[in-house]
Amino acid sequence: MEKILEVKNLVVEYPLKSGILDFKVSKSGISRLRPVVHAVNDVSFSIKQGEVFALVGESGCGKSTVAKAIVKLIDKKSGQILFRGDETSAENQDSLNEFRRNIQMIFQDPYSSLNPRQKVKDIIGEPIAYHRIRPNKASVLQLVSELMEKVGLSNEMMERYPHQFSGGQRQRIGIARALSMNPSLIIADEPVSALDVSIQAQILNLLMDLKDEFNLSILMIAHDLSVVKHISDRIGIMYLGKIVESGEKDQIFAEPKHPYTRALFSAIPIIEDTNPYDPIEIIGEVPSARMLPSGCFYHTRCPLADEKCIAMHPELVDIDDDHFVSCYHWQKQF
Amino acid sequence: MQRPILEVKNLSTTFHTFRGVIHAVSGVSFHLNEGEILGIVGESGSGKTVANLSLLHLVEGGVVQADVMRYQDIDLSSLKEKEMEKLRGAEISMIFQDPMSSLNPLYTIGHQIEESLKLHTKLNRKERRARMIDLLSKVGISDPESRLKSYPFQYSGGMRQRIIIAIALAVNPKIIIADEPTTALDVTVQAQVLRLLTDLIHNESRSMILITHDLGVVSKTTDRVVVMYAGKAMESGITKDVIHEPMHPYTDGLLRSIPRFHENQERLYQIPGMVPRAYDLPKGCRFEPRCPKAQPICKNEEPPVRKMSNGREIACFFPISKG
Repeated sequence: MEKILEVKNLVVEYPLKSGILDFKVSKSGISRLRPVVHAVNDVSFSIKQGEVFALVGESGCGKSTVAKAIVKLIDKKSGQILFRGDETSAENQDSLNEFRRNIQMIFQDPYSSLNPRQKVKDIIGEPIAYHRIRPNKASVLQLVSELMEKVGLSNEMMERYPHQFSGGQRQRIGIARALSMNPSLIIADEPVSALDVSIQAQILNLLMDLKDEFNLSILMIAHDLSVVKHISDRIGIMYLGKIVESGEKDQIFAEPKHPYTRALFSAIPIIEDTNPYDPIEIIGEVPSARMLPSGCFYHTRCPLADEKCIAMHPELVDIDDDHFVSCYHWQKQF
Repeated sequence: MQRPILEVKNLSTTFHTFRGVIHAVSGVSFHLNEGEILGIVGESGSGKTVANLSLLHLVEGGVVQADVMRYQDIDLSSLKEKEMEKLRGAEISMIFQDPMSSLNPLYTIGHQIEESLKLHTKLNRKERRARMIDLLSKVGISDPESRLKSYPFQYSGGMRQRIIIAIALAVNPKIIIADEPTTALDVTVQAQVLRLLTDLIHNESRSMILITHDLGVVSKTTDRVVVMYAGKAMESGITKDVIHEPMHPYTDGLLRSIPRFHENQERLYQIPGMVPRAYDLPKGCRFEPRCPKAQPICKNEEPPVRKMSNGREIACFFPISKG
């Protein structure tokens, strides 16, 4: 299958304001330190046509930053983002427009991602007009009404404002807006985490239906592992800006190998009263992304860590048919 | 049978707004036994939080009515504000959802824990300090002595929630009402905090009401559960029974709409439609417009609460029967 998106060695840093104490004295004089948050540290993955790839991790692990870097909402420090094999430069406005049309985003918060002063027809219609997908006003409106029907909203809602809709309906508007561009890849950043349980199911089903109908590829950013297990084909688990394990969903959920993945899975509150994973109490808290630990980033909390883990960062290696793990001790039991 | 430590019968809370009367809670009854964790589960706007705030007279601008609102031998509805103040924090304390905003950023952790000790106990300064250090180590904070001097911003979300739990426990309350205590936390931290809370309840014979929207959390931590929808209790009973054999169509739909961990489903079940607006509620059963089993009677009449075996109660004309 064709790779629709390939991310290679992506690094993103957020600069911080340097304080008066951020300086270094050396032989050549005093130099100012530029503190940064290491949000994404060397992340690589790819998404195939028609596939749902989920990036999973706890808050602050850099999963949303990866999404923003892909659509060029923020600048990357280094690495490559290849869409259908090509890197799009931010300089060429035409190719950037085309790139952005092809990759659409659905945001987490349906309340803040819609302009409260625009009617729904303008929210969905504006990008259609901008990208000249339809030639005139009437045909733009025609497309808007088709899209609204697709996502389960009725036509007469076109004249309404966002505040007249519930959270689930707003998320449908956001999905219609993304679809209007006829994209090949949709990046959904926590699309259901702000919704109630009964509405969450409606939106997940809608996304899956649309995926099949339009042969979409989806990059799903999520923290709810039950949702991820339901919707995705492949997953990548992130910790402190790195992918620690990735592969086919079924394989990873059947046999998580990285100690962090194992701890994460054992913490899932599962409705059926048995959690199938060995209970592992994860100790402490995630270290600051300002000052990353040496070696393996997880060694500060890992029960299997030894001197090697403190000294060197383990490479992400293929242990079994596209199942990648970045750990020296993945074969060990706890 | 043992008398429940907390009992609420027919509680209603209404708000009068320019849009009309909002029935946030209408006729809800529940009780809490000693040493038990009761879950109150529902979607946003189901009235789960307002019901509990009503107990503690914390509802602003609303009218609270109830047939019975009793804590031990105290009638909560007749309490004056001064008497209620003595109860809050000392006998019944509350833990809120957002650990970022429920601590005052301008005061040290020590100051904020000490506040309730000063208010509710006669301990002197030295004893208060000893108690605070004891509390912090109990909620799993290392190096408690120096930690007393730090400010909330120096803590992560999980640590702040531990501090809030320490404050809630400071005066040894009998009941803790925890409103979505782990919703703002990550899964691994959520597991830590839930374990801490359940240990503290079970080892020290306290009781807890856990308000949440997460059925996974309910199933993992609670003994009994009340399922609320649009201001009404739809179903209640022993958690295991309710989760494994839901009898109310709403509970059933809710459980089926969650992706299950042990199965690979093609499609999720979806409850059609959406939650009715609070000022425009259906006349009969509140779930009727979305209910797959609804009959004409459901549209016109509110279903009475029926008592079933094993302490199960359900408000439905056509409950789902086993098998």
